[in-house]
Amino acid sequence: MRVRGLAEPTATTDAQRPDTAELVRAAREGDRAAFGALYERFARLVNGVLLASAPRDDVPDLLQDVFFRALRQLHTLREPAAFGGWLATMARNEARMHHRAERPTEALSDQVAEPLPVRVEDQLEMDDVLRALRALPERYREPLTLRLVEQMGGEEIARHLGLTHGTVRVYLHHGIRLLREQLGEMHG
Amino acid sequence: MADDYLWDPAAARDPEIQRLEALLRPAAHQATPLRADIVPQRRTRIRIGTWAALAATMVIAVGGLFAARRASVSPWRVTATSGSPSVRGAAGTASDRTLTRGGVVETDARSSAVLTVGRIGRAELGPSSRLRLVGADASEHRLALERGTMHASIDAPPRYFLVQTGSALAVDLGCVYTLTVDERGNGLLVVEEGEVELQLGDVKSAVLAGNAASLRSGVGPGLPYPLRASDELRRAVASYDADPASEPALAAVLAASDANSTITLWHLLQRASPAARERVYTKLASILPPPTTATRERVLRGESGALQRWRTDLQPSWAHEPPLWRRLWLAFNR
Repeated sequence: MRVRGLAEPTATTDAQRPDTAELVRAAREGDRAAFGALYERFARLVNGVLLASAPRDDVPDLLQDVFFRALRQLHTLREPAAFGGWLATMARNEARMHHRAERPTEALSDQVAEPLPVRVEDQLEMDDVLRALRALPERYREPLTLRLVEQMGGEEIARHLGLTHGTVRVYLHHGIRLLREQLGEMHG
Repeated sequence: MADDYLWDPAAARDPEIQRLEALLRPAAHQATPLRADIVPQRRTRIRIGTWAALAATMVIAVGGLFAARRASVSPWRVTATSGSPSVRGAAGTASDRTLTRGGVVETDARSSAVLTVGRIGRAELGPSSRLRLVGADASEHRLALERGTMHASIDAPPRYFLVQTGSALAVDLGCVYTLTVDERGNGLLVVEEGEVELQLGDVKSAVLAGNAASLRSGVGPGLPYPLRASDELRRAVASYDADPASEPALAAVLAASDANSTITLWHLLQRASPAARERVYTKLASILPPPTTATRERVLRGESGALQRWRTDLQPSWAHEPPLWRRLWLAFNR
């Protein structure tokens, strides 16, 4: 199966989109465009999972590392449809190893898009909120980060993280309450 | 109301959550391309020829530099890097700065030295170390590290460069590593690049770049573990290496292992008692099940073919090679 390259945006409906398992199989056979399509589909998930555990400045490099590792280890994935969960686990491990190694922050690659213009006060406040998110208990951290940063809906979060709708609802509810408390304590 | 919007961004909006969303928007994933080394960019095809030519020129230039450097080196020459290391021949008589078969180079607490290993690399000897040249011919170069620390940087075919210690034989499979041992053979192997196989009889440890393994007198090579392993796993592996029959030590290794330490679990699978092997199998299979050709029964029986097939699947996550600039630097210094 061949899919179109990254540089060729397509206007396909959900029904026309190749499913994840198909893309994984094609990528395994060396179809890099299929891997590019997987990247487009799952980059927000990986970004959210990484942000839930790693400093924001390090996330763009870690995200590239996760996909690089995923490409090299794709042949080890037993169930192609489980690609999202497998990738999320890989991202968690990458963030954990990064935290353990305490690498110095490196400059971002020039391939990273220009950051959005942000006011200094907003930047500081955003850093406070991200810190507060990372301080939440693990089970609330990822669903809430995916909701607030990547603006995913509850159903999408449940699908990506392999949780039931009810569980995600509860985690979002408790997570936002704890986040409010954390931010309240931070700002006195 | 807030919970509705929290669940469904298309529901009636909650101003507080909207404010958080707006604040966090710059942290959201931005549509950036994958690095070129992950997904080749088709549009760069025309430029590939230029890059290839440049790369070839670089390779020739650097290769020439390496060759000139290598040609200028005298084999088995010992150079003091600090203090006054001694070099003696097989009969114990003081020698000039060239090590001969059976000869010994020895450093005291204040000295260190570099030995050119034939024409295949170099070995840096730390303070309070003693290194003997066992033999050097067309089939192998063999040293014995009797005590101290040796940092070897070797460019040779696999199994050509061997280092004996009091507890195991270190077989070079093309790499850079540091070996530290005491007079009884207790010590540590840390591999920076490539792979070293530690052997004592049938007990073998494959130590790949970014991993380490201990050496124990009378026991042989320890379980390899990633240098980035948690302190918990390091402690558990040390306990197991000290007493492989210890049930608590085995349980501790299983508890501390995860997807990043399958190198440890794969080796443990071969060393655990038949009674304990099933627990190791279950843990490792929960991380990455063996290929269908390596059935549970074959793995539990310790069949080499089945274990090797599983290793092939696991191994991509074992090695943590240094970055390119470091590898070039290491190659230049051989």
